[in-house]
Amino acid sequence: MNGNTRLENLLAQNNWAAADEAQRQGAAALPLLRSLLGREPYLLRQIAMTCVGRIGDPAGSDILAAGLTDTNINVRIAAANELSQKPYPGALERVLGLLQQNPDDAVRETLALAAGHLPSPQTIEVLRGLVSGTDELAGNARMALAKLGDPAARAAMIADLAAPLPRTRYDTVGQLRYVGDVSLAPHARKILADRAIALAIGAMVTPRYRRVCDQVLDTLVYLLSLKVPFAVDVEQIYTDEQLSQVERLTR
Amino acid sequence: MPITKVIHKSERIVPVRFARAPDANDPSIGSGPFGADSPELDDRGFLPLTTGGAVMPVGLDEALAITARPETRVRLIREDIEDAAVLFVTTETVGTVVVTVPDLGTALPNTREMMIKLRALASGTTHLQVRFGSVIGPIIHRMQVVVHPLIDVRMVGHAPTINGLPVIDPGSGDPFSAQTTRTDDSIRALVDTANAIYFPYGIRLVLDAVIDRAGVANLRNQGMVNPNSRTEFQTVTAINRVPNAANAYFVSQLADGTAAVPINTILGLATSARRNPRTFGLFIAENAESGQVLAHEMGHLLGIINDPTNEFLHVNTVFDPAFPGTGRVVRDEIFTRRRLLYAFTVLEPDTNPITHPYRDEVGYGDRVVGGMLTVKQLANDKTDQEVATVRKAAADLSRAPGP
Repeated sequence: MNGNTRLENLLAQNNWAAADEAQRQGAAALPLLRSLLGREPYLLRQIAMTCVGRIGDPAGSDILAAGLTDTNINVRIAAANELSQKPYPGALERVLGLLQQNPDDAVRETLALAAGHLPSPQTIEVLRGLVSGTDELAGNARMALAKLGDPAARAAMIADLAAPLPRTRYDTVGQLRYVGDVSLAPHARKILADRAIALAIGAMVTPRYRRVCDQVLDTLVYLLSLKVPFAVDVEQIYTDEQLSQVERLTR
Repeated sequence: MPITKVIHKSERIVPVRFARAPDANDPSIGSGPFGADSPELDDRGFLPLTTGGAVMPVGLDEALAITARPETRVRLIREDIEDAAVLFVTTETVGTVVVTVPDLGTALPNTREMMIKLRALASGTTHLQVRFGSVIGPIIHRMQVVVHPLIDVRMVGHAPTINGLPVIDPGSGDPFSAQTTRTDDSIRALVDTANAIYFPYGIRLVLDAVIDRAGVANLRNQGMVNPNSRTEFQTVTAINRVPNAANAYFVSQLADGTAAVPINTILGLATSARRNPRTFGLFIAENAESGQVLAHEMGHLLGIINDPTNEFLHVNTVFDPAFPGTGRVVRDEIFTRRRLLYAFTVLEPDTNPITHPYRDEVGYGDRVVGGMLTVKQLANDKTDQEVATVRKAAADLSRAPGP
């Protein structure tokens, strides 16, 4: 069985394993995936969006853009999720249009992150229109603007690294990973000693607390591609020694 | 005279009010089981101004043709206006919902309790309006309606075998079984109830066709997962784990076999997918009889309570080392008792049943907790906007974790 037939069979069964097969095939699978637009059931189209994202080729932009206006929200969400992962320049117009007018809050919030991968004067203009407010859409729009180099958005994020509420500092320093600019690392490093409790994790009967410094460590390791001799992920609570190691590495 | 009320000094006039409609045909019935077509209203006051009163969430299955979509119902109750008053119901805008009962242009019945049914057309927000005299008469009451398209959340059911020291079940005299005795059908029944609760909020749990019964874990006690043990939690939730899905583990007991975490006390346990993106999951113990428990734990998995200060654990409890587990109770009024993230599965009998008998029945049966998620954000309430939180978490579940 050749790859295309395998992929067709998996898609016909609405099997999520199709995403792995599509990834193996790469851009060669895009015509088949494009042919699924408008086909029923919606789960088929939803899986197709995930397949396009796994392939990750900008040539799939039109498929994801079409997914954003699908009749089913699960397809719209899948398309928005994939667009938020990497740049798909061909989807720029659709992303910006729907960012301004879309009844689905969850889709809009994700599209704001997608816009951060799509530099253009129009992108900046649209995102600036969304940053007022305190909701998730405004926060994501600010992150996207910061990723695109907008000075005001960056200044606002840097200011929030000193916010009174630990959770605000924690979230903001985590958002720097999305912004992905190594020049922001020194700002994160300034609060590496911040031991304030920010986020309860684990089961509530035995909560553990991530501190601001734990998030800072994650961000520094990501932004600076640091090699450290211990596991780093967003559920770790680091020892003083581990924090010191990163402090020394970034001195 | 439509309103007859003796007023000595000042009095609040409530001509009509909306209420949940548990029965499909009889609007005089005010209590009944969870139903996808009978949503709980977020009727906590008249704020914010944009809402102006109660909010009714309505689920929308976009995959169904409009005529095949289920109707959603709500009761309208005459409080201070007489039964003879002629009332009509209209919608503020066209295209979000359509009223199917009563018929277009027909007055509501001249009864104290009246049934209104509507069908979702498209995602969005509108208001139901109650008008006096005619379909263009003055609006005497209104309720916001929010239509939520259904977001699918893949759920993978697991019934692992847990080996360990046998612990005797005092009820049967036999050891707790290593594997849950729940059948596939009984697990599906729990999911069905949870879906009835979540439908109005636009969340649908899609359980895999096959329940995974192949997993094995070697823990301290047979059939038991110790809720205080992070190691046991993570050991079990790693079994045949499926990414980007709600992995639900059905076990005999959530206990440690000692008085510290006694048997038959904890019915469910879950961790938030947003806070624990690598290890999140949920557990349901054998003694959880209602799918409300599964719905409650799914709420935790989908990120509620979402208190940025980490103070609230449930809608009625806050963290306090002196009250480990569910936390210290800080409020227990009627609205709280109706909410899905209430800390307990059974309402404690009110201490004064003579003066407060209504506190034990909040719309679902005697001492049964409700399934309400809040739509509104009331000022300074750290437990609000639950619908927005769970919908965002559900949408994010299918996305690969970011850096």
